[in-house]
Amino acid sequence: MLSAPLEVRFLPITEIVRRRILPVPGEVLVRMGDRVRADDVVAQALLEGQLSAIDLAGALGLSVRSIERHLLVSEGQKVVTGTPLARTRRFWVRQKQVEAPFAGTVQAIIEGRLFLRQEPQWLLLRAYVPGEVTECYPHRGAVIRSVGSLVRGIWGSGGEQRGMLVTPVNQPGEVLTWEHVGLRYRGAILVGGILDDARVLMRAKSFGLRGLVIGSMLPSLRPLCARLSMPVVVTEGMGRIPMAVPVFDLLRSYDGRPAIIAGAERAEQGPYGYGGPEVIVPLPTSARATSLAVVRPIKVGVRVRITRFPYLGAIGQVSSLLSGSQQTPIGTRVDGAEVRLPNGHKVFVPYVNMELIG
Amino acid sequence: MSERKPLESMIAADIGSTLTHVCLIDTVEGTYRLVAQAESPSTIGAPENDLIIGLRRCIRRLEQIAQRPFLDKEGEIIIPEQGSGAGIDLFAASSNAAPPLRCVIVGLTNDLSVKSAQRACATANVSVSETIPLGARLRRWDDQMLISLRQSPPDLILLVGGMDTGPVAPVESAARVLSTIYEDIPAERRPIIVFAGNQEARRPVAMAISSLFDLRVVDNVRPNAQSESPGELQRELAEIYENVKLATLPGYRRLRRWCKFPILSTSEAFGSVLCFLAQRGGLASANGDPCSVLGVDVGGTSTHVGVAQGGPALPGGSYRWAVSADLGCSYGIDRVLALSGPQDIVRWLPVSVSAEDAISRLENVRLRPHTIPQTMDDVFLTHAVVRQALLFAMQRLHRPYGHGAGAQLAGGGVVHDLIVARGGALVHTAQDGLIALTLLDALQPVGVTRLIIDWASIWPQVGAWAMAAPLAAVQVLERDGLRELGTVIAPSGTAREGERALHLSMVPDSGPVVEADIPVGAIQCFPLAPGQCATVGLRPGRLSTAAGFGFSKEPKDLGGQVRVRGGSLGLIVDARGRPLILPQDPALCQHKLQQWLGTLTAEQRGSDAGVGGEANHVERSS
Repeated sequence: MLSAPLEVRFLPITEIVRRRILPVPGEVLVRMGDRVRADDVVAQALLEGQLSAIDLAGALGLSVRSIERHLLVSEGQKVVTGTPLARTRRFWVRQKQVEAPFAGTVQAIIEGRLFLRQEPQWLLLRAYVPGEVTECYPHRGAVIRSVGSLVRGIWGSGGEQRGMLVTPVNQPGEVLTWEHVGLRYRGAILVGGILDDARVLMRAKSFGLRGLVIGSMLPSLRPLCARLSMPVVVTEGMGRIPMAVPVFDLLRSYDGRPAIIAGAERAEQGPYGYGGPEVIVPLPTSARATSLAVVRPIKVGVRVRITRFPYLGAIGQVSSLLSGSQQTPIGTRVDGAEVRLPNGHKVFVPYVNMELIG
Repeated sequence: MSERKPLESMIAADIGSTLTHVCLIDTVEGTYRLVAQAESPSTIGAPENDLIIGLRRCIRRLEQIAQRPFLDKEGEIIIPEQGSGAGIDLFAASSNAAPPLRCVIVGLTNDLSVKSAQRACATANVSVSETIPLGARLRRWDDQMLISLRQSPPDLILLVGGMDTGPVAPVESAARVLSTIYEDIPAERRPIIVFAGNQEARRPVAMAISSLFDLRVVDNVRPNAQSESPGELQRELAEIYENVKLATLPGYRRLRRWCKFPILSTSEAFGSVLCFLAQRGGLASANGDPCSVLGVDVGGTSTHVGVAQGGPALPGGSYRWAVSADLGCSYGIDRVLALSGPQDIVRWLPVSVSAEDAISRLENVRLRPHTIPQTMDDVFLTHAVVRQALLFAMQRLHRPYGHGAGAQLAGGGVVHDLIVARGGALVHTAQDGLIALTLLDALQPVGVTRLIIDWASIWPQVGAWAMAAPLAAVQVLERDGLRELGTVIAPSGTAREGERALHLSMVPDSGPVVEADIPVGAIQCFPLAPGQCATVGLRPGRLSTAAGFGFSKEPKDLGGQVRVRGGSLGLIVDARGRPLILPQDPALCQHKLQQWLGTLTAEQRGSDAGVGGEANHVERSS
């Protein structure tokens, strides 16, 4: 019988392999076999500086054609912050001057606009997870192998951060309210059930929290999350879905332990990047880790998370794998399994509507 | 000299962003037939990141159905077919799984050339992320724009502007600015520049940027104020999509090795099927007149609508299309929601679902695009998204050319002889009545139109192998590739609800005569089995508006007789008027939708025979 391999989104202990790649060629600072901490720099590169277009003609009230006569710098010239770039010289008009907003190089002057390029900046690429360097790509980066608990989110925003895990709520379906977010959690990653209040995000950002891990949130909060640079990871979906009990219990058991959170999708993942957001709790490398495969065949007895209405978010156990396509209540025929829900009911769930959990 | 073995069996695949479809074609009693088809979630994104994985699962499913192997132990396709029956003679593929090309248009002013460029982009898998009109002095090249262009460079920059005898300097300056922006960015991250502007600016533009960029020069898209010349630009955009986006799909190289012929984009393959259907005018209009075929393909990421005109009386034909690269039923939900707003979605639901709940559920579908509905509420929600995606796609199709192909009537609807529809959300709906209602609501056809769906999801594959085996393409399409829902009669205009919209008398080739008065605001079905024909006499009812409630713009519409073909829903009369106006009151609107849906689905329940054709091996591999 053919049954579909399912995606695994939660592993209490597993091997974690992360590729760290510079966006531009640079220098790799580690070697194969090196042990690294999460905040160690593994590679660095010089990134092109910011380019700014300064509208000289507009600022000085001059025509584009006449701007050339008022220039004080030329293309290719290096300037420091405050260097006069152009100045009106007519004696009957109050003198006006445009200065360099930052240090850089005059790249070009086109149609009354001066293009000023900032000096290149160093980009430091950190290991992200503690572990061993298992592979090096010359000039591009390295691969780090680690062991830990892995929770792969379904949606996320913001960058990568590290902090202590704190769970201020008691239930996986409990709403994370603004009262839960206090200054005492500065530097922490907060775990909650449901997020439905923009104030939580605003306070978390202003109090310097390192991130939020929540079961679900209202879709209307998505734009605000995207504007904040703080990582947010959603484990179940949008709306009011409690966090899966095994995920919640595990994260709560790690209260006070250092964890890593990554919100936004990362370039090395697929074109749609929906596998990006994750929370990692590093464990000693001596811990017995399972395989790192994130897609595994389904078997009778495994725990699954149902990913579509009306059972969205429910955790059940596969009681039998049904042979052949089954008729669904909406009249279609699909392959699937019988799943026992926590209330004891057995329901038919298409393979495409479930994920392996734990 | 050895004779070339004729093609006997082939597998064709269409790899979408959400689903991968494969079909097996084999010779049965001397003709090519669709023997089996299967589908599986695509595996382009994380965690598997290799389209071949999903394709192999799909082919394994096909092996189970056909009871013969197509893949060897290493998972490679077996070509040619062996004496034991293993393998196939030809493998063909089409795909639109790659994300659309991200494009920035740089032009002189927001009208003329920029508008023409936008129209050309609407025909390709292109998403225009930014338009920079150089005439708007305050906006051009502001810091925000520069940061955006440098931090996430688009796939291509379309530089247009200037009529062929116009000034060269502004375009040349724009080229110099682009060169300044990207000169310190690594070559592999620089966008492709397509120049489709003033011919006289070609040399200075090339001198300014050809050393830095991959520069493609095509015809001026707007050579003068009165005309536009988008053809060469359209071809270039299609080629860039295939070579840059499709070719970088994970697993594409191996797929390419399996295929003897180039991998077409799904849009192109679908377009060729539409043209074929239009050319075979007899398929649409019994008298062989030129016919107009409206094709819609609602995918997960993109929505393609196209109008092909052809037929024996119109050799050569014509084809116009628009690809909405950001509108779809899974990854593309985001854009549909952004353009629609929650109320525009829930207005199409015949059940009570709050706007917040609807949006949450749709967001979850976007996050898990491979999942499928398990309740009718979810099916209705998906169809609401399909309607909205089609409404926007149709606007894009007609906007460019004012009056799109097909005669546009005062009521807002467009006359087409045939509407052909495909896409996972439609063909995975078990209720033909719901499919028909969705198409009627979104496309609002006027006059007499047949509805056909790609029940087996094979049309792009047919288009893909047509160049290798044209006979097989024709035979499979005509025998197995079409499922007729029925013929729709839809008068245009508006009138008071309950008034007589038209009087109908249907004389089937076999069976009793049917006479009926159809009230305004109703949908009614009259049984007419697939393959059966009837002569229908139509007499318009009383007119309530100056525009009339008839079949043409003529002030006195006296009706007439038409030949119609049946389908799973028989003959459908949609007397809701055009443009379709839904009741403002949500409860009344819901009630109306229930009523219309009830009428259409009741008809299918009454005549469920014959659905799916002979090769009805619909299997979903998950």
